[in-house]
Amino acid sequence: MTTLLEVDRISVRYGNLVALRDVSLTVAEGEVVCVIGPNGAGKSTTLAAVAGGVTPYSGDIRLAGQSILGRQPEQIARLGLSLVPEGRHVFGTLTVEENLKIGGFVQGDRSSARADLDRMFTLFPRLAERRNMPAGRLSGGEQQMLVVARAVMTRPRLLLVDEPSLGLAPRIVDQIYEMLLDLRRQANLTLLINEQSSNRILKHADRIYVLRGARIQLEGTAAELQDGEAIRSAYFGFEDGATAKAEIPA
Amino acid sequence: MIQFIQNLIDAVALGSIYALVALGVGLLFGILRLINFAHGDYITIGAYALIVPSADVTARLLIGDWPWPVLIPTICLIVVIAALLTDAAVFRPLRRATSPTLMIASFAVSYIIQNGVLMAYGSRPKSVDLWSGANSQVFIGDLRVPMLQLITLAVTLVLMIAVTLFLRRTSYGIQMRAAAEDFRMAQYLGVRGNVVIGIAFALSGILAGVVSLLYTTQSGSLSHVMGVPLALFAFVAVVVGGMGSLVGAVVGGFVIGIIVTMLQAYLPPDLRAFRDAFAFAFVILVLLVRPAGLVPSRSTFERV
Repeated sequence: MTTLLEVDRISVRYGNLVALRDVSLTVAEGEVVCVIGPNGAGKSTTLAAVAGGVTPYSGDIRLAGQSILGRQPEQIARLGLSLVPEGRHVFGTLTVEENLKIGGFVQGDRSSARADLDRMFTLFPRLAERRNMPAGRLSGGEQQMLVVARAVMTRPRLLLVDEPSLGLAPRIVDQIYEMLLDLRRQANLTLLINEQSSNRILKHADRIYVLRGARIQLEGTAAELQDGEAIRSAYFGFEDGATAKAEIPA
Repeated sequence: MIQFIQNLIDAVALGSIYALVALGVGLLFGILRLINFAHGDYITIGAYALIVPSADVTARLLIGDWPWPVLIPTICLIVVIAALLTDAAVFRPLRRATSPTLMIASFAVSYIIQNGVLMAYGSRPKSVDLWSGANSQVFIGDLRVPMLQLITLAVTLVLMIAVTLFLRRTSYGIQMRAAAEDFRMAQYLGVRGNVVIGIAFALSGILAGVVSLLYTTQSGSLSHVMGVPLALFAFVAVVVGGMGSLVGAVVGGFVIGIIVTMLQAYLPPDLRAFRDAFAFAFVILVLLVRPAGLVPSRSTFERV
């Protein structure tokens, strides 16, 4: 497997606040990698840094071997990396179809964008039914579907998804994950997903990173971390041997 | 009754000028959060581009003498270039700056343009004779309507339909609307920020160019501060209509035009000098009742 994304010891500061300290991670072609960690750990900042939304003050980020550090988000998007930020971010006054078209413009090829649009509508009949509705009127789950579909319209090699389950009912979250894994099979996607909770992730991810307090605390394959104990202590920061019964939020 | 209809036509004609200016201002505000006080000076540039640059009192027409199918695109092109230059020189280096910083920068641009015009053309207002035939009257029944007002209305209508079609139907139009709503998200999807901003400046330049022609034909004179009152009323129109809403900007433009004209016509003569004070008092009233403007923008139907 070839390495698609290499995040190499990046550090990010917002004013005096250090949001990331020497964070490194890699994603190989075809993998599903998850970053989990509590609120405020730096998960969103990691994805934003990769997508060009914030610029690290040290370290490097390489996509398929090429450094993308300091590039504009639009340039990075055109290199085949698409970010679905936390909190959905649909263009509320644009119709569902226009939202999807925005993703297609980056392809530059009208007929393939057209075909992708039809494919999305076949994949997501709920979006097809609402294609002329302003996206702001969709339900939360439908909006999450729309932003993922919209990101896939850019034909990314690597899709970053920031907390897809945030604020959604568990049943809807299952649907979203099914959809992501379906898309992964169909569109040859590599996935890097942020989550606060680990139970779903352990089922779907190939590898997992635990991020807490601006640092990577733990890294391993899903099989290695299956029993959840190591994740729990990394997540909460227990010293070795501590036997607290804290639970990671579902 | 005839008198009232006559006033109404005046009002709508003035309102459509304000609406065009407000639309230009609103386009940039929507995408860049820039309140561009230099917009009025784009209009000044378009008007002065009609004549030979000199400090003489009487203006000699240069581009202004060309046939209209050449004249109109040339003036629009000059204003578009001026608008794009202000973006490249001033606003682009300030892309990450806050809204107030951008606004203050636009004041600077405005003063630079005004003083540039002052240096090249002198400070005295100049009279120009552009398409004076358009000021003739047309009779519709008992109504006497200046031809220019009909032209103004028609041009406004055509431009608004054109802008609407551009924003709804073309790929760049859809990208502009997306960027106006959530600039960063649009960039994450590969929308080129500087390209859509450039298009917004160009559109606002075209609108300013057309307004400069309509306004010069009507007033028959040029001055280096001629754009200022237009811009001022357009900002008021944008605020009344609802910041960030293009429909609001247009509605606000018509409302302001109608109020100003009607106050001029129906205020007692002693009070007419205070017409603008009454107009602005009305604006304050509107904002007290509807703080978000007449047509509040975006997120009105956001759902959690």
